[in-house]
Amino acid sequence: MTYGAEQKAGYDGNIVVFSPEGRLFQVEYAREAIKRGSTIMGMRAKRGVVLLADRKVTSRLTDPSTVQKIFQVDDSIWVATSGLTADGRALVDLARRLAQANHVAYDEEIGVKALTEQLTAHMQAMTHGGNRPYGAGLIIADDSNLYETDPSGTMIGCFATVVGAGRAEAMEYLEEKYDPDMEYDDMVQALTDAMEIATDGKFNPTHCSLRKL
Amino acid sequence: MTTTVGIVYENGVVLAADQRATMGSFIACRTAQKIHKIAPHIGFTIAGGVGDAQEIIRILKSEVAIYAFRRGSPMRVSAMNALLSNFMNQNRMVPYEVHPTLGGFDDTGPRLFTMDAIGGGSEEAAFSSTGSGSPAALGLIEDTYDPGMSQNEAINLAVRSVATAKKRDAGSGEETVCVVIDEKGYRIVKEDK
Repeated sequence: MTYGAEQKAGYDGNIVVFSPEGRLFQVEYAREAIKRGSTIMGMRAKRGVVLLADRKVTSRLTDPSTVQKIFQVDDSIWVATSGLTADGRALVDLARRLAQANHVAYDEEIGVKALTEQLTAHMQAMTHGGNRPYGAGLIIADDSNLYETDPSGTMIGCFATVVGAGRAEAMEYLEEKYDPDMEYDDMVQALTDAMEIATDGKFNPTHCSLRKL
Repeated sequence: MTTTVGIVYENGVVLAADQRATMGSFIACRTAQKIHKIAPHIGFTIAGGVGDAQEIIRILKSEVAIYAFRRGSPMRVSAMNALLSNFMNQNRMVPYEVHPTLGGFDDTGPRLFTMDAIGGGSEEAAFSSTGSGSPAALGLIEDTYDPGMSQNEAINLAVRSVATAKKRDAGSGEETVCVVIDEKGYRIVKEDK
């Protein structure tokens, strides 16, 4: 067992156990990983849903077209990921499997709410199951539902949300701008402006994914 | 043995069945219940082994309840058809000896399915019949069915077709039970004749 650099006396080792204050440090560290992730955001209004993801690349030798942040997981369900890329991929693959399992079991699409519930049930199990929590945050949506997930396994239904770097500032902006009667163009504009804020103006529109649902 | 009938009309589904349960030539029960309420909007008729059918009914009732709790919306009849098809096909080597009919009403309208013992489900757009009395019952329904028929006409045809089967099939008899499932849900409309 390894101890943290700050010597938290055993309870931030590589298994998830409560600290004396009732906190799960591994879960909190997973949130830190997401805070450092590239920014993803989503907005739901009467008109529909828009997802926006920053596909920032750190080297000009990386092909931006191979960096994917928004994934289709079922006929009408899309997932945006932020945080540890490989953890996000693993959750997307699980989401696709859960969606197909629902087609086999019931001959119908799983729906965003049930899919998010099943995904977060798995994420919650990782907080007391001998593995580590996922270091990825998701936004899960179709044309009328928008949820975000947290490494603790919490799911939250949203009108708009931001996950990843610059979340607090961008959320503050969206709280001001949000209106359920917004048109697509207004939603895209609000999200693009929020992305500018989240990335401190370093946002490159050609390196982003936009998905209107 | 048994006669069960399912009829689709414009705004719902009618299910009807006799009440005779046999063990060979012995009439083991004269008040057998062959139509079961699986959910507030889904009915299920059984022809075949009673024990096998009862287990399937218990399983389906629990599945439909947990689905509704988890999803916050009722299971569609087509979803239950898929679920039952998978379940019966998984047991194809030691099959449940039943020939079920699923009838219900959901956000897609009235739906009717029948299934064989190894999970072969068929959706019926108009009507279906199962059990030893089904040839006699189907003869009358084939001749009389009209897709535009009213609820009362559908009930009447269902009850008459089971009555016809009871006249010529020794495996069917006693009273007829008839159930309607429409947007108001499942209700028993007739328990005589």
